[in-house]
Amino acid sequence: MKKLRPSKLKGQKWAETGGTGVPSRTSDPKDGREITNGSPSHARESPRNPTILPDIRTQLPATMVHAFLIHTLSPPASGDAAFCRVLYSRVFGSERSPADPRPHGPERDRLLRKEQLLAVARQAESACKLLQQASGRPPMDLLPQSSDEPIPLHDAPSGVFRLRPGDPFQEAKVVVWLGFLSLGCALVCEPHENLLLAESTLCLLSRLLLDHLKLLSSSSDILLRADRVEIILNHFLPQGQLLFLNDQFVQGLEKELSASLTR
Amino acid sequence: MFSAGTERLLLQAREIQDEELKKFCLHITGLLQKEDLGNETINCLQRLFLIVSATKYSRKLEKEFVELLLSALYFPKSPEQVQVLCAAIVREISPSDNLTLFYDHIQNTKLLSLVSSVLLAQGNKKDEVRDVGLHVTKIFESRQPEGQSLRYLLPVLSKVITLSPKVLKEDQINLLNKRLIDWLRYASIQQGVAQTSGGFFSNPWARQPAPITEVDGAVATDFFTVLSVGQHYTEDQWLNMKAFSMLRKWLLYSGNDGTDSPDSDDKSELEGSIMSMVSATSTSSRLLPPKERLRENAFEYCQRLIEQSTRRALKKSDFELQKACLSEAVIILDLLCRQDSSFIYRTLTCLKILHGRLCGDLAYVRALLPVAQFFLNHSEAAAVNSEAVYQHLFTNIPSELFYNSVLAFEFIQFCRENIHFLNGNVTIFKSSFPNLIKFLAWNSASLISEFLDILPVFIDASTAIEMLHVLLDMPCLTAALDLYLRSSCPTAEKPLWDPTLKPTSCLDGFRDPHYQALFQHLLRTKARGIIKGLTPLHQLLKPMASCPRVVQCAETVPILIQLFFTVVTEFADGTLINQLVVLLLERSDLLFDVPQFKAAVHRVMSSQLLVLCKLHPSLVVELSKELLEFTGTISNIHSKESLFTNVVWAVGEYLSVLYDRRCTVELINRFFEALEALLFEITQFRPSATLPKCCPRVITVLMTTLTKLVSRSQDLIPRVFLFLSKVRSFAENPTMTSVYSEEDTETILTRATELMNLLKMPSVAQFVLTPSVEVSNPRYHLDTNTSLPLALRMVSQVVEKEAGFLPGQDTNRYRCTLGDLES
Repeated sequence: MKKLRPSKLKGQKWAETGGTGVPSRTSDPKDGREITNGSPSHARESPRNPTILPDIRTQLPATMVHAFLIHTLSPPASGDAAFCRVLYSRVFGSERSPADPRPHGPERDRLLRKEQLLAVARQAESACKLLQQASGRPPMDLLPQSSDEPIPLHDAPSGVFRLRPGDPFQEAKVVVWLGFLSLGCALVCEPHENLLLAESTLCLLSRLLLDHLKLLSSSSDILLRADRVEIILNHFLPQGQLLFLNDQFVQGLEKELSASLTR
Repeated sequence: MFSAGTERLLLQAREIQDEELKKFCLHITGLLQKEDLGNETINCLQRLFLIVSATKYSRKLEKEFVELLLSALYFPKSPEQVQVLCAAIVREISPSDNLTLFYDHIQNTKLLSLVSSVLLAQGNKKDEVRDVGLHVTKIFESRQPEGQSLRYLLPVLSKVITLSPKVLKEDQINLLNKRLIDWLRYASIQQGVAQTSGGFFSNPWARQPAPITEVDGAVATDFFTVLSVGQHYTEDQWLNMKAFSMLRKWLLYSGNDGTDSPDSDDKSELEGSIMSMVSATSTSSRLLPPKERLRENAFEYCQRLIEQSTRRALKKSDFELQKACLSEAVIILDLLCRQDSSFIYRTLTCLKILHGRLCGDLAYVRALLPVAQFFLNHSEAAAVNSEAVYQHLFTNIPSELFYNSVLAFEFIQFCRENIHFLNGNVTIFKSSFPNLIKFLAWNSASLISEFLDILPVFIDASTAIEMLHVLLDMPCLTAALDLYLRSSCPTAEKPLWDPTLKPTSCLDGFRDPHYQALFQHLLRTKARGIIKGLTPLHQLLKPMASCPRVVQCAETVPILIQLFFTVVTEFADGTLINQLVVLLLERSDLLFDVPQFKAAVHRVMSSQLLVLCKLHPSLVVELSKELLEFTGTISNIHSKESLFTNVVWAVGEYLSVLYDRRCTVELINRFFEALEALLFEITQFRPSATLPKCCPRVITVLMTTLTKLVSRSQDLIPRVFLFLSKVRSFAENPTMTSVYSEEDTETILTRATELMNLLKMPSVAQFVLTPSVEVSNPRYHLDTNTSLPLALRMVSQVVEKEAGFLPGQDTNRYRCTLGDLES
């Protein structure tokens, strides 16, 4: 039998068992803001009121898209055999003033950036798999793929999850993702972004990618069309700013987009 | 489409060697120097982008080459594709040292935006963000060049203030405040004109500007907003849209002064700012300084958006935008009230009406959370009672919309961010945990990590028992929620449930009055105690037990109950611990039959049982009836071996006067007899189909526990001595050796021999098996190898060799290796 140490179980270990492998939150039982209620006999035992601190809120407005990425969704049957690949990624700006004062080389910064995006892609992929599984929808590969049929994006699996500070970004982020064909698209947003707007923007971007990269016809290849993705993003998500676009604004931008792409 | 071809291309790009890359760059250099900006160049740049982006390791590009890319980016004749590719390549290799970009001469705002994106990606090592910020602001200050639109620069400004808080000076902020006011409030309400060439036959009336309309097609009643519709938009209307898109961020930025933390829930800070703001309040907004005027205009803009969101949009995408705008408007109003308390009263009426409207209209449900946040932040200052808001939020929303995963996420975020306030001030919050758990039961995979953050707040002495039941019943709840959806909206266009599953019998049961009370209990919205006997539901819902959603939910339960015990053991007293142990013993049987669910829950239960026993050893005496009953049930050995073993171990460890003075010899004897009978039953009968093979661990734990008990009631020593020798012969019996492996037999034999040796010296036995607290605390030595078997072996060896010569004080050194649990 495994050696049991009851006393050790009282630590903060639980957080490590969380589904995402996030690091445990340390909690300070002396948190002054604790509110004690309930029977007075327990009042002295402070830690029962969880010492959950809200994310360390930044002094600054945290509403912006930090990154956009397109990644692969492997078919559910393939298991670990297929790797999750980031096919395209764009980081808007860079991470805000690093807390780590040690100087690090540009290579490390770049490596970190790439690893962060891959971590997001992996998590989005597994979120998508779990959602598909739970809702009993056919896996992606079985969806109709004839090039005439439009893909019902409003029906596509989508979701949202939070990334805790430090894992993998310095600050907390919220990821909105959407899956179609065997691709996933994700917006890495700052924590207080308008999620309704982020969702509809992601849907819009996905539609534009489908239209302008001709993803349905197998000849074209997303890897070699970065210019098109860039131009779409520059129009519809400039510098990572989500836009409140009504249908006419979208049409106006689409006209500009077509002009840019055919020039 | 991601195919094998794509994968191959990706790997090829990664495997390109530096030499090859150098050659390729030389080729591109040739093309660019010839000013060949045609398809081949574009094609090459696309490939180069792939090569630098496909790997996470840096690709070395020569400095001269990067400069060439940059000059192609500036080059006025470059097609947009070349420009974006050059920018993307340089961004992709960023941060790069020695990158020099000159943009002072750039007149083209679109290009400036592109260049800024490259600069902002450099990690702000050389204060690039500040440079970009100041440059862009300068353009806003000056007259914009002919044909250039500022609308490309607003997002740059937005990004700059996100990346660096202290870039702009007061007068620059004021200037931008003024411009934002113009764009937000005074954009044209006539439609723009299409930029057609006109020509000879163009219709002169077509150029007549038409009025802007609302989303429902009616002519606009008031100023232009993002919800105003026109065939074509004028420049200031585009700016209006971009300005509103960054408005919340700008208000926070410009209203911040670097001292106020707007999102903090620290009220004292807020009150401080209220006092200073009150005097500045004035309704004649024209006289106000730009910052206050912008707030005034933002307020009007948001009011107008709320009004516009009542209109019936002609287009579906506009309806979606209405929802997003409504949420944004409420968030901005909340922010304005935080920055300037004079807005509270003006906002309050409007939001009260809005709340009433939202309660009746689920389409706009997502705006409910910002509304609740507003009331949470300001109801105290406004002296209004917002009970009704919370009542509706915590009662209706989870039970009706648990399946909306993004709403569920936002809801849990809302709880998490306001947890201290809600816990302290909102009575309904704490009692609504059975309702909130519905979000988790349905969206368990995506919500579990969020939920772990808020779960502890719901656990206290009054809720612990019900909470544990709720957690254990979660998979069953998932199945019930599925049935609830199927029966309440059977004609839904897009089924919210798994369409491949056809739980007809379950659905019939869901509607059957016979089960009504049980389902109502399971689907309750508030904590109201427990009811016994969900077993009929487990039977009824069995066909759904292996459906993926239920299984996913079941997988989260062990994590949750582990957390539950971590929290509860921090405060539980003896009474509560006793209740919890009884609950564990009872519920170990009554679990929904999800594959692997029972085993996983038993694992947590058995480890937590030991924690509880250690905290409150008297429970062995206080719950002797329940424990006797549990250990007396032979089927428990097989159905929950780990829990059974730990209960037996706990009896042996804690049933002693050392832990509880009420522990009598009679009680010890009662346990002894029950366990003896049990061990007899499993060892003396031949293994058969009805009584499957028993794990040797159970046998050794039972033997050890019996020995421990007799060491405290020494009259029984001869009896257990005889019994152990029987077990020894049993283990050597050929019919048994055919069932147990050699190793297992050896284990049983050795343990029996060791225990018998120990019992030859009753005083030593007592000392080893029932150490007094002074001896066992502090334990000088504790590691993974510390265990009773080790101690037993040593004592056994000593006894065998030096029987009769062992001085009492020397046993101390055996004591210190005595661990908690035998292997």
